[in-house]
Amino acid sequence: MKKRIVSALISLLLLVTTAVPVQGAPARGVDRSKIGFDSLETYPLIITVGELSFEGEVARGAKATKEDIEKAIEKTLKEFGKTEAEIGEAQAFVEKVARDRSLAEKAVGKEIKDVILKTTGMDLAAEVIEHIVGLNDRPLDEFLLDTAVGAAEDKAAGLLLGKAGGPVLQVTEALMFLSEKYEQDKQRWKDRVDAINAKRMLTNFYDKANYNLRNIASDKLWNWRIAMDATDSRYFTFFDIPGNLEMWTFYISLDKKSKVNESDRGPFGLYTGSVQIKIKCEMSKFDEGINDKYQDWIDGLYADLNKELGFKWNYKSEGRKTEIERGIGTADHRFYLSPQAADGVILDFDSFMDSKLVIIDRKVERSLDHIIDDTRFQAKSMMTFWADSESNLQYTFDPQYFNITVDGETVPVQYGGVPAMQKFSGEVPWDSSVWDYWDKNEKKMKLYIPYTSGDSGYFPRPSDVFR
Amino acid sequence: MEGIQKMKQKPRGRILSIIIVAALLIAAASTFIIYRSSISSASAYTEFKEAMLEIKKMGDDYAENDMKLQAQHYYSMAGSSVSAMRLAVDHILDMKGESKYLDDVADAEDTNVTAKPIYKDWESIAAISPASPYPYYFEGLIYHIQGNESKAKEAYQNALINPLFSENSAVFYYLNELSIDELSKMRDDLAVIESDIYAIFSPRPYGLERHPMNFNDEYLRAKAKDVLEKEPNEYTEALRYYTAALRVNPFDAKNYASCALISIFNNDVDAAIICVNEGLWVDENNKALNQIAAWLTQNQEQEVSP
Repeated sequence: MKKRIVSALISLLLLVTTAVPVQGAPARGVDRSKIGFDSLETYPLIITVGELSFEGEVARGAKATKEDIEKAIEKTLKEFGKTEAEIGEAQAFVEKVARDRSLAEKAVGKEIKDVILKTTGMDLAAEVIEHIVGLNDRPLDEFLLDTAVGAAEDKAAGLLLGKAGGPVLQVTEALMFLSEKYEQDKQRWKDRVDAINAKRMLTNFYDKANYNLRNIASDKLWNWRIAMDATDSRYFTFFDIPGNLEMWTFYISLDKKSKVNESDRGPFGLYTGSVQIKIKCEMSKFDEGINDKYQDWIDGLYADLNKELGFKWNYKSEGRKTEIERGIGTADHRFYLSPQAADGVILDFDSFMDSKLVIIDRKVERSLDHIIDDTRFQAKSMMTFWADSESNLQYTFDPQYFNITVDGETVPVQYGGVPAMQKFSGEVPWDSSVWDYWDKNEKKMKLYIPYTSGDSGYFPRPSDVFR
Repeated sequence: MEGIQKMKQKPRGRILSIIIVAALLIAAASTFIIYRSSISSASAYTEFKEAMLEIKKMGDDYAENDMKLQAQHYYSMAGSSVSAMRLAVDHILDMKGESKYLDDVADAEDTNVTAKPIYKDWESIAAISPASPYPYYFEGLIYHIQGNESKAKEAYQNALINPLFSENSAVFYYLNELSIDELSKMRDDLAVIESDIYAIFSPRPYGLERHPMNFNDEYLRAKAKDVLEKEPNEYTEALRYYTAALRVNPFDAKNYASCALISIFNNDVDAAIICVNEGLWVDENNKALNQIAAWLTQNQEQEVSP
């Protein structure tokens, strides 16, 4: 009877522990941020040209889509016989146990440094660490001496003479330290068994979900790859007309083929693939501005006449939208990504195809319909500005008519026996500054990669190493 | 005369039979010695392999219990050690004329080999775990076999400084005597273990230059202290060494406390809290950690109270 009561109590306790959601825990499901590829390595790669900057990446691995993640979650829930809500409850339980024992994050104030300095009465981090942690470490020089002299030197000499080698069972004896530490830790694990069990289930769940995700997304695996699809822009002045916009896009798709030097590792090595740089100009300011420029010029030319007769000319800009584009690229580029890229390297695009497209075909109609007393002046002309990638900016003035009507009779306006407006054409030298930003600036590339050696390299921060 | 001849023949026959028996005995003994030697050599490899699989399994347990730092320590130790032995075997195979494995090292992507390990040089293998002595040992072994005694001695010495290695561990010179078939089998075996390890563990950089003392957390803390003594506000640089110390020895509460304090000075209170929490789990009675926890809690109360 007693046994039955105890067993009923245990069952009830288990039921309460497993079935009742943790009080106050928000309803939630699977934490999607825990499902992804740990092994994916991505390092930013930035190309700068003058003030312009383009970010791409050097990456290895695979990126799973959201759809892949949902599929992996669904499959894993089925395998574990759990619902999303149950996973969320387990997560809340684990966090509750952890909270009971731990300092809560986020709630701690940032002024803690001042509190420590004030309490210890010290000024420097080195002093505080030595005082609080009680480090009684040897000076650095002593460690360095260890590497040069001592028992290790004699033993190393012994190894060369073939004197070393103990019984087979002692081959890895020195590694016993790791087993001892592991056993000590295992002993402590017993204290947290409930939370650990729930956590283990979650760990298994997320591991399995990640395993499933890897399988689902495995057909998208790739080797090291440099990829960039980045755009930046700048305003520029063209034929003294400001406000035009250059939009630059770097498309890079390079796959790693092999190492060049034995020391190359990770992403370093030879890449091949395509590199395309597109510079496209948005020229609406030029298209508007060329009208104003022409107006200022020609109005200035006949300023006195216009003033005297009170002419008010009308201008109408028309024609094809100006297009200026440049493409620099190659489909078969061989690029050696060297470790120096982490310090920044200059890129050379001289051997690339460089094609330029220029279409300028603007017309400005100038017209007049002006009456002074009983005299009517009517005029119309067309100024055409034209250029292609091979030419200077050409202009052609085409007078259509300039008539005067008095008493119902209309005659062309003449000056000294010749028509007041005559056809003319000419050209102005091409404004090559439109190409200068590419031609004259260095193209620098920098890879933001953690070093495995070197003083200035990246290393994971303490909060990262626990993840 | 006949009698004399018989008398002379008798001892000659006896001597001959003694010589034959002795020769047979020597042959049997030699065979036994060779047999024993091959058994103990094979056992040395088995011992090494099993130890590494055991370390990996411990890493699995830590990982299961969400003790990522410790898990990484064990995984990196096993990974670095196994990769080092595999690279040594690649080199020995190359020296014996079987270059396809080392060709693969030089990135011949299409080489037909069973497994293509990611880590293909001593530097990167050593960088996986500064705590493992095996990259130095196996690098030294290759120099030794190649006859470069000065470099071999230096590398052996660097391995022997590490208490996780002893001269009893240095028993793999026999690899040089194995046949190409035996080595190839061993190499593939190691490559499979490697890929199993790296499938669940991605090594993270330490940001340290390779140095034989990097296994020693006390040395790394001394480096950090040296940085702070020279440049009192170089918290990030000091953090590099304190973090490395924590990673090479996640069993000592001092490393958690140092990391927590330097993180506070580096204005990363969240990281400090993680270090204190994790450190208290390692040693809940540690004075320094409890002091830092008290400061953090006190500060928390000050923040909360009006």
